[in-house]
Amino acid sequence: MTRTRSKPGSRAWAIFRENPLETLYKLRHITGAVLSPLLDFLSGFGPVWFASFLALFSSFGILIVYRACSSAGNFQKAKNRVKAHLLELRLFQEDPALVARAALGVVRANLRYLRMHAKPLAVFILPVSLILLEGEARLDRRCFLPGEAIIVQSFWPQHGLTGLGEQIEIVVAPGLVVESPPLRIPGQKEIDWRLRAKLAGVHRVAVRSPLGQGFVDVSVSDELGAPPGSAGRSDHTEATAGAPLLRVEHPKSFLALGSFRVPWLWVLVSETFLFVLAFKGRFGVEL
Amino acid sequence: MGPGAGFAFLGSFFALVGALGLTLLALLAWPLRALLRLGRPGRRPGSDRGIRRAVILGFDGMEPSLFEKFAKKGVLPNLSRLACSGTYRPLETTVPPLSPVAWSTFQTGVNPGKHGIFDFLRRNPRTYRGELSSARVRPATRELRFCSFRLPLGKPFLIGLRRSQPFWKLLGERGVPSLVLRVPITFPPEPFRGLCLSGMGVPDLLGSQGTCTRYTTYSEDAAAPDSQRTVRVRWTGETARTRILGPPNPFRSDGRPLECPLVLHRTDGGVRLRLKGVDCVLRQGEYSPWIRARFRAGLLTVYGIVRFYLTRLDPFLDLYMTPVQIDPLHPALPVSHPGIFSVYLAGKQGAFSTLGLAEDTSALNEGILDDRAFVSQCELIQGEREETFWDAFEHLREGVLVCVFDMIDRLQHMFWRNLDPNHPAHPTGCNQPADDVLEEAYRRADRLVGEILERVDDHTLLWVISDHGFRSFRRSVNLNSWLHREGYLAGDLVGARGDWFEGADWQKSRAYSLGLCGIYVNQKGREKCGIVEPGQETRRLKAEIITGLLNLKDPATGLSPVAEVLDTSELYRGPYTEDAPDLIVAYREGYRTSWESALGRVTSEVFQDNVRSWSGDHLLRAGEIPGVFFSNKTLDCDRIGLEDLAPTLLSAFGFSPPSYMDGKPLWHGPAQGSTGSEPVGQEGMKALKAPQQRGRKMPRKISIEGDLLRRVRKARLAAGYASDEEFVRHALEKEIERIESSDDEDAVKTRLQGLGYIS
Repeated sequence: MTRTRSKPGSRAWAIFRENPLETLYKLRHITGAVLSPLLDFLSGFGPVWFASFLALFSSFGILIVYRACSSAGNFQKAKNRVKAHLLELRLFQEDPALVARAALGVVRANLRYLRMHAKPLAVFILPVSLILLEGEARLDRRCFLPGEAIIVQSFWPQHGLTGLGEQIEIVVAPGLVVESPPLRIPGQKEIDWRLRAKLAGVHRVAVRSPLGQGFVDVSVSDELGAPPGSAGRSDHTEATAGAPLLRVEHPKSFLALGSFRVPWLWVLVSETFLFVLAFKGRFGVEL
Repeated sequence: MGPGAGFAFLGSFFALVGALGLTLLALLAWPLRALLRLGRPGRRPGSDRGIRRAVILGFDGMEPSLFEKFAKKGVLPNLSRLACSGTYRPLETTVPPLSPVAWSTFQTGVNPGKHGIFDFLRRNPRTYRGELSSARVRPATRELRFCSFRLPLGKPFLIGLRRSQPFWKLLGERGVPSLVLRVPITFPPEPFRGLCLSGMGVPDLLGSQGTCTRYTTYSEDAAAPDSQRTVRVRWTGETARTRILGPPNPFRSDGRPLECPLVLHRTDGGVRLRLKGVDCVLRQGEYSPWIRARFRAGLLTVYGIVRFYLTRLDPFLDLYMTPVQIDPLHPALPVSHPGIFSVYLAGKQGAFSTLGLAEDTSALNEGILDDRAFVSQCELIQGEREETFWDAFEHLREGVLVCVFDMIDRLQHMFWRNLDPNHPAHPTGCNQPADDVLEEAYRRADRLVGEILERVDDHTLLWVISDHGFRSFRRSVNLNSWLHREGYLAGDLVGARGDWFEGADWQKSRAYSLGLCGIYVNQKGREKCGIVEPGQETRRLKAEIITGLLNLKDPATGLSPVAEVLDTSELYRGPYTEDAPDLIVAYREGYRTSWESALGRVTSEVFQDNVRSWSGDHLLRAGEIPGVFFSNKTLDCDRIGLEDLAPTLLSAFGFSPPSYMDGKPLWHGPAQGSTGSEPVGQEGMKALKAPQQRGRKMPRKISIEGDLLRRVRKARLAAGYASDEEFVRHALEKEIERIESSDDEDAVKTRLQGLGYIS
């Protein structure tokens, strides 16, 4: 019997293809763990500065990849061609046939230009995804403030308990108070509760049923910081067959820029654009 | 996919949206514009000859005898076919037979007395210095100064000096568009209905007609001639840091040039060139691609393009750099109409040579480039020109396309010595057969004609023309030295280092020569220090000089170098005749004015052997040095002159040529359509637009009506001006020049009083 060895790359690709999002999250956990001292240090400057540092790293990464994987001269030529066809529209505007030809020229030149981006994009899609996930982990959500309402969602498996009369119990840590009776949504096999945060801290919420129990952690804090641990959405279940899947959506976080509250992704993307524009000359890159 | 992808898609998205918007706008507006064009006065009624397009290929300097020689050899099948199936005639050239003069006549259909171009140079009667005849650049007149810094307030003036009107402007006024590519004397480009890429006359970024640079580590070198600069370079290990010298810094009073850092690294068999944004490896015997150089002056960036050629690496570095040319993508001066046309061409085909005299003949003349490098340069430029031509041809659905190619002219200037065994610079034991270079140039032209013939239909008129022929230039004649020897030009001139008659005593000088074939009388009331009375005395002096020149003998050959001397007052007709040289010299074959004489220098000898590479020229009698004329349509005429081509084109599109044109249409029979060049109506010219000058808006309107308008019109028709505006402008210029002929402000006031302008 012969054993065939598959290449490591193809194995990795197979794993990634099976569940890409989960693979990315796992990768982010690994890189986050490796880089956590640095990331923790940087996030100590505040969320706006942290977003700026992430933008700077992103932009340097993009520029390095473009420098390695593309030719600035070819990019410039491609852009000039697009510009030339646009000018052609103006120069020969009196002839509809020439106008149509010029418009087609713009489309073709654009496609050529976009094709030139394929290689560098393929290379940096993974690093930038990890950067975005890190940003999401640290900037996307915040802890609940004391006094804020918390919605706990529970999702029950097909064969589990979904309807009225089930013996379901929610148990909360002392820092939380259950405010509402369970809200059953049979069509979605969902049962929700409303809690109220009272004390700062990481509090566990448990939902018990005769078939099993599920847990979820809720972060409450006096400061508008990110919830500790992994992504803001706690989704943690000690699995037993029939046990529910619990979810608590921590509130979305916004970065305070003066009197404006701006989503972190806008800040990250726009700052990355600006840094790339500012430094592309230094790196000898054209985009 | 992250911010990087955003660049790509955002940029493309905007470009696509912009394109879609412009396309829709153009398509929606087209019916309305077409209707407006139909209703416009002067609209062409339709050509009765069925001509919808005209393609004119100008091969500068194509010599009929060489065409016939190569055609007999069978290597020019397409031109031969054109000659047989259509028309082939010699094309009479202008007096003098120089490209600026000839192409100006071609464009305008008038003799030089009506377009004002008589040579490459014109003299300034106030300073006796030479200036470019085709355009004048004046710096901004107002500026703020502080220590060694200055802030110009306003842009420099750029004025074209070719008068009358080119045929494309007349056609454009009648709804026929034109594409004009690299026709000489189209700088600065004038607005008209069509597109124009300027040709001969476009300066380099330094403002000259082509100053190359030589980077060398060779320490002992003679003083570099004016046409090139030598930059000494020193290796530090394998690296040398130097710079590209650009235009003068506009913000400094000392005229210090702007610089662009350049780093050279020695590599295996070559040199690596590094500038901002450019990294290029150059092997020996190779040209680099066009390289963009950025010159920063504060917040201002001026772009130029250069090409490098590595002549030698060991034992010393010899690196040639072309003149720093205006970047067509970011033009510092207008090189096209509209301005975006050059940007469009550069975007589509990449950077291309914008310099008027693009082929660096001086570099070959002075030994900086060898023959092979020069030929390669010509071929590269020809390739660019062909690409530009084809792009224009693809867009020509109706109208005129005219494109001039210079390669044949430049190669003939530099390699005629290969054809002439009696030439002092005839190469002995060279590798190439005698006329290979020139034959290949003619073949290339023939191939181009062949490709065009395959794509033209019966509604397309195709012409192939040249502005003059060529002959050998073996012996040079310094006219100023002869004038000095004969006592017409006085002063301590022999051996003076400077140009423009340094050391001349104008109070005792009666005549001088400037340019390639002109002699001027130092006339009282015209020249600043004129001493010769106009009228009888001037006529007598001219006759004396003519006799003297015709009797002049070359002691080395015993031949008379001068075949003919023409009095321009009898030769030219038009309002600019008084700006012409008083006498035009036409030489016998083998002779030409010396370079020194053209620049106002006097040498100890009148005659010298021409040992330079520049070995072919065309300063003979016009009748002896015609160009060529091919047409795909048969023409029933024996004689064709350059001045006939513009009226013929107008006639081809159904218009009668205006009465001021000296040429006549080449085909007989009436053409439909309205006559006239007047862009305005018969009665009451309401506004006279001030001349359009680059760099400054001239918004003033001057009203001329009624009787004065009638008199203006009558006078300008009699004088041969192309339009009322041209006449009024010229009259004002002459009057102002008369007033300003003194440098002294008090004298100006006195003169104004004397003329009655002030009391």
